[in-house]
Amino acid sequence: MNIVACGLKGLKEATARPKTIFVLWLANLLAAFPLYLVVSGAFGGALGASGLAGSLASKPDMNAIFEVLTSASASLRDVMIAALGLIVLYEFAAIFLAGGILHTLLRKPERRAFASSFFSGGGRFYGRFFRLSASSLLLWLPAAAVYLVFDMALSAVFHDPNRELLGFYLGLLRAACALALFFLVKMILDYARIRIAVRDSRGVLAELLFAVRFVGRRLGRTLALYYVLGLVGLAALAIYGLADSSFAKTTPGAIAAGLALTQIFILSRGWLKIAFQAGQMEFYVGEINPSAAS
Amino acid sequence: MKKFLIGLGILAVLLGGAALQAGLSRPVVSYDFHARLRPDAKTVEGRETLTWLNDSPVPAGELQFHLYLNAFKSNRSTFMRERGDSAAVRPADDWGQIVIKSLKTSDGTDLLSVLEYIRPDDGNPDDQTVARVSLPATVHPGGRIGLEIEFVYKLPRVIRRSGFEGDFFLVGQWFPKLGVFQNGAWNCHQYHAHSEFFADFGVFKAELTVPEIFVVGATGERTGTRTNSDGTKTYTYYQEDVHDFAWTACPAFREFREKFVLDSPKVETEMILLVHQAHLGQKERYARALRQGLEFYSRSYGPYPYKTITLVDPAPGASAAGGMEYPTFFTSLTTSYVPRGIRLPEMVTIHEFGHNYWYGMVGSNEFEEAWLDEGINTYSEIKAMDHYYGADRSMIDFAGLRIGEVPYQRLAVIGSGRFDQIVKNAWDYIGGSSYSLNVYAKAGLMLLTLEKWLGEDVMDKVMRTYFETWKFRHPTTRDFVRVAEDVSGRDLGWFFDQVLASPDKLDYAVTDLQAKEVAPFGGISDEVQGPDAKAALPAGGRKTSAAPKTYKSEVVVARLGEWIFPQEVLVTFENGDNVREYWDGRDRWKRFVYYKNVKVRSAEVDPGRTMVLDVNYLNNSRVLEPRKPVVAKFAAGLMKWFQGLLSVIAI
Repeated sequence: MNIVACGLKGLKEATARPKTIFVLWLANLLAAFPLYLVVSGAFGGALGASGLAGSLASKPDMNAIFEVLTSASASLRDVMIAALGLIVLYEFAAIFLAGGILHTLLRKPERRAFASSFFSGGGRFYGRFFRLSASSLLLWLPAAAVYLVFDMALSAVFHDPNRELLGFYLGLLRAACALALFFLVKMILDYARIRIAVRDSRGVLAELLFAVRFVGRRLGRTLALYYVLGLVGLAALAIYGLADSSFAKTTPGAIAAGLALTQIFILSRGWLKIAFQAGQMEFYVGEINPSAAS
Repeated sequence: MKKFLIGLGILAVLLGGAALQAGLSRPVVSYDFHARLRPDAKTVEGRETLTWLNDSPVPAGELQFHLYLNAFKSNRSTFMRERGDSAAVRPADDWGQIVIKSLKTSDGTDLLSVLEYIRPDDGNPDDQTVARVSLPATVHPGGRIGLEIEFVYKLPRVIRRSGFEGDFFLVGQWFPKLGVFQNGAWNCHQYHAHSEFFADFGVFKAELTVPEIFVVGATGERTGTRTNSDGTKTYTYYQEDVHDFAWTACPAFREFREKFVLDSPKVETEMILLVHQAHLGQKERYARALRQGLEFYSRSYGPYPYKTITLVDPAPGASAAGGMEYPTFFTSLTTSYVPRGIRLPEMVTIHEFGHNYWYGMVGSNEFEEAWLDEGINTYSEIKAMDHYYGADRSMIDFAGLRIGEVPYQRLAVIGSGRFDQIVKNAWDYIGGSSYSLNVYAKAGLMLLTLEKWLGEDVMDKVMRTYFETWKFRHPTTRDFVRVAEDVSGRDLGWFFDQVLASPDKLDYAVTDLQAKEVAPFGGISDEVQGPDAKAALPAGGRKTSAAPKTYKSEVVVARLGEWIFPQEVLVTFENGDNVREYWDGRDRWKRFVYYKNVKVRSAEVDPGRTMVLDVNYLNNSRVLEPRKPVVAKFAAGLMKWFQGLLSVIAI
């Protein structure tokens, strides 16, 4: 399969599914909004009533933020606990959303009864995808082991405290290795979900092992597809970062505009998520059953 | 007889002092070293000719020495125990010690046989960092004694200001060093995990022999070099008016020399930078920071008087040797890559150079009153860093993140416990972080608070006067306080008694702010009696449309901490009018009430931000109408970041 064609197909499929994008965005917003409330509640009294808030009105003054965070460390602890709880909840929701995305992708775009297709898919695959997430420890643990071996090998080969710059670059290399392994496991899980959805399979472990073999035999191309789409995500992030920096003021309008921009970015993340799934599904189907590929 | 001897001693001291007027300091000690570095064995073989002048009015029957390097002899030393390293397993080569081979008076009397280790601070029988020798004859006031000492110093792997790492050697606290004879007794403390040093001023000469490939730097001025037939090279150094001598050697050093000249005040010195070849990219940063330090301290306190200043850049892996001061010689700190906006090399360089003033020239007792060097130097460092790099970015100015040094130092103070006060023996703090917090950050911020209280001009004069009065002497906290009071013409006992002697905190707050409309008069008026009384009141007791509204505004300020500071309170009303109130700050709270036709808008204690030690700026002010947009932006900013995180991490 042509990787670029798969990527483009994925982007096209995602673009044709605005409702799915909307649901992903909404789920993200619903998971994050409680944190807004927690932060407002925790810091509202002390910060809002303080004249120090004026220091933060025009620009993000790190020196003033230091004061806020250290003076209200108990509030900060509450926020951290809330954030961790929300992350856990969102992980459960994400399992459901993955089922919904794949179920809609297996049907013609936005044909009829989107809600029925998306939510029934989410429910249909929830148990299997949940077990897949639990089984993914079989990948995360070896990935951690690979990282540790890599780390020890680097330390053994390049152990020279006199070469600090080399140490700095090795640090970057370690981070790159960790990220590459993280994305590799995520990608294998994507193919396992795709296979479960396409075949309506119930053998989660078998499909996970299949996905490992599938990716292993086509490592270059699966990675190429993954990173081609990843580049699109990076471009979106860069554009967002540049645009967001122009909303530094504290007027209600600027805050609203900044928030709206973030929502556009999160929509783009949803679009990309679907594009990943669609592109990888196109690749998978093309590899397994070339005649079925579009 | 005793009184006669004391009187004779005082006379001798005075005469001696008169004879020494030409020098910057009264030279109580003189050391002449001959030392040879053996890199393979990690040892220094040393010979020391020591002369001591009894500069006190009391006879001395014994001498006490610091043998600092014995702190690294085993995990039972006081240093190691206090560090929590008592169970440490270190390779044999990593330990260090100093062995005295021979100890004689200049007339050949052996003293080694009467040498004994003492533990004046904690009685730890395993600690050998202080030794005592009884003298065959008393040294009377104004009298001198000469000693010849041979010793071998085994360097530890770099630990706390001294040692080796590869072929890098920092030879500090390496020789048998006399304590200070004060008030009829030796002030000679053991080496503690968090203590530094105290010694008398004098003259130091050294002949240092190292393998020829080594580059050497040391306290003082290099007076000569000679190449020896055995593949070694000998460097000679000389320095007066200092109280310690340290040196370094490493073949990977690159030496850079640069003249520093300042017209006002007159300063002419040579900057010597020994930069490790792995850090050559940082050389300009070091040089610039050192120029800044020389300029700032010379202009602020007094001209740098020595002919040289040597900056040592520790080798990679030897960061434990970094950030240490010795007279005319200090170690800085960097790595091969530090972004320009992360001002670590600059901060360490300015701080350690600054110790040439606060420790080097003003020779306070670092064991007992560490704030006098570390706290005053932290204050000076903050002033210098803010001056050269900007108060809002003097620590970090990188990738849009800007952090000033004052907020950074405040972080430590804000989050601290109330365990220790600033003035305390270095080994009596509850832990290393409490020691650092108090003697560095809290003491530095205390002086900034004092500066804002007295005014910058007065504080500058206080610091200059303190330096001028006490350079080349041994001041105490009392001396600093006396100078501050004399120069400012104010009684500052209330200030210093609290911040130096109490572990409490400073926290004033505006705890309540209200404005209510005052209801018009209702009820029976005394002015109109009888049947017409009702007619005299506004209908139904309500205000008439013509009557102007009156608001009762209340401001409550409170003292949440223990320290008591007089407070200024700035109250601002809706029409822009403001009132400045003064409160002695003694009671737990005070209410200010105003009746005006406008509401109060805000109130702020310490509007001039003079109380840098206040542990919570957030509660210093209060506005009647909370600034909801700011909170909204703060919360929205976190939510935006969290949304992005969720979109990435979902598995």
